[in-house]
Amino acid sequence: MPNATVVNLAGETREIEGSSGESLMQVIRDNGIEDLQALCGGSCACATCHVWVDTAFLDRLPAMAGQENDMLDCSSYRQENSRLSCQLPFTEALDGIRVTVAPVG
Amino acid sequence: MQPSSTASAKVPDHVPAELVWNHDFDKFNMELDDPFLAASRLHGGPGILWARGGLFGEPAWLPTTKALIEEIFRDPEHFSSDRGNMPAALGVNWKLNPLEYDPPEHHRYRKILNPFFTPQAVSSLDGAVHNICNELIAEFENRGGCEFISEFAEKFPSYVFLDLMGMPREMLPDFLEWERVLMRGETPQIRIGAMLSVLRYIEGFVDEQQKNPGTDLMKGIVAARLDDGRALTRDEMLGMCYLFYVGGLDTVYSTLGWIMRYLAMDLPLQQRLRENPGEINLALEEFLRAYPVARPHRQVTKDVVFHGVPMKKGEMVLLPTWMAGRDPQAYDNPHVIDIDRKARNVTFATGPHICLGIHLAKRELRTVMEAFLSRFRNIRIPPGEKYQYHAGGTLGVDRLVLEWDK
Repeated sequence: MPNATVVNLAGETREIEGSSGESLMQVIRDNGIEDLQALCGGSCACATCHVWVDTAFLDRLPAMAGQENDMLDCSSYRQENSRLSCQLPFTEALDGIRVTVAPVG
Repeated sequence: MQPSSTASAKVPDHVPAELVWNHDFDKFNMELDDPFLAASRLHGGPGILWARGGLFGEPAWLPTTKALIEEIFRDPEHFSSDRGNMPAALGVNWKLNPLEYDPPEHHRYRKILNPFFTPQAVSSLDGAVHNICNELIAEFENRGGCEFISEFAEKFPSYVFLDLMGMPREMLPDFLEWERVLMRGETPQIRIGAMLSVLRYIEGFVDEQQKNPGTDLMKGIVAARLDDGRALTRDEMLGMCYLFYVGGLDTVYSTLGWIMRYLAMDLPLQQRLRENPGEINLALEEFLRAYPVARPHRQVTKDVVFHGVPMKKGEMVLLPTWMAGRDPQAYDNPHVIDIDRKARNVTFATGPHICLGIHLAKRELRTVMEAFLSRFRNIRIPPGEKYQYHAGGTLGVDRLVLEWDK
């Protein structure tokens, strides 16, 4: 099962494990990291599952669709490495990925 | 009070007999002196009921658990928001926009509005929200009490709405009157008449704004271009402006009533929040969990067996968010307010239609809690005063007399 490292809003780091096929958002939520709110539950409608992705992993992610791009535009914390974790399938290719939960706002 | 049981319509053959519930949901919710406790009598029974009187007296499926309500919110493929209610009720050709659109069309409209309702955009309305709150409180501040609903809760979100839209404040008495009739009009015809009055006003407003938009929000709507480069039609704009009215007034007013009623019955919590204003956010989240006021609905898009229940295309499904908020399978002691609970809720829905105004609504509610708690001590309901409420598409407090010490 692939692993990920997640940094929460307080800067604390957690190693988590998840099964392939779920979204990264689901894996983070299932591991009890509440800072990632994911209010809409994966519908790409709220931008509260926003993460900053370790740049080394950016090119392993699926391309960003227009709707994800629109939603990220609504965040004042958008960076080059911003993604919505509900749009990222968690696969073996992402094993070892490091993401930081971005603030909502 | 009329009993909630009813037996007019025939039960369709595909509905399992053990799920048939011969009641009118709105009347059932009025049977005790607390609609949240009244509705919660259904918890522990089947996860989904076929309510004979569900939506406007017509049958509808009625899920009773948070898990099922949440799943339906997130499943637009089987449960559509395009229910055709506005045309039926008002004789118009447009839909509430984007509320009655399904994905992917939904996002074309939603993305136009999103930037005006982000936490950051809402912060820019902060000053206005505070001013409105303070102005209204000043009217009764030195009187030692007020009738909270008519003197504050009804007016507050209406003023915010007028400011957001750029409508003149002189319109407030008209809007309050329409709102009163809409919620408490004696017959459906009278209530629809009030809706039409709102609609006629908004039509004139949109016509004028298309030429000369006033606020940032209206400028954004008028300047918006869809992916094919065209501007929004008048009908699409009407659907948006009417939705702001429907979505932003009744819900905030209703929630304020329940929050203030609870606070007036829990002096220790008032004191705790006064001493620790940083915890007002926690309290707000818990109030939102325990006092959801909205009951959206969906239409089944195709025949489906949902958790063992056969549903037919075209049938209606109620999503009473208060059934989710008081579900004992989701929350321990669901009827107890515990601000340290830190539990999630679906009060603003979830899925693609998660409430556009969520950040603005929370800002409005928090502002009012802060203002009342910081000014008044021992907020309470005077002995002998009884609150009044209504049930229906929303659960709202109609009368709440308060008094306090300064």
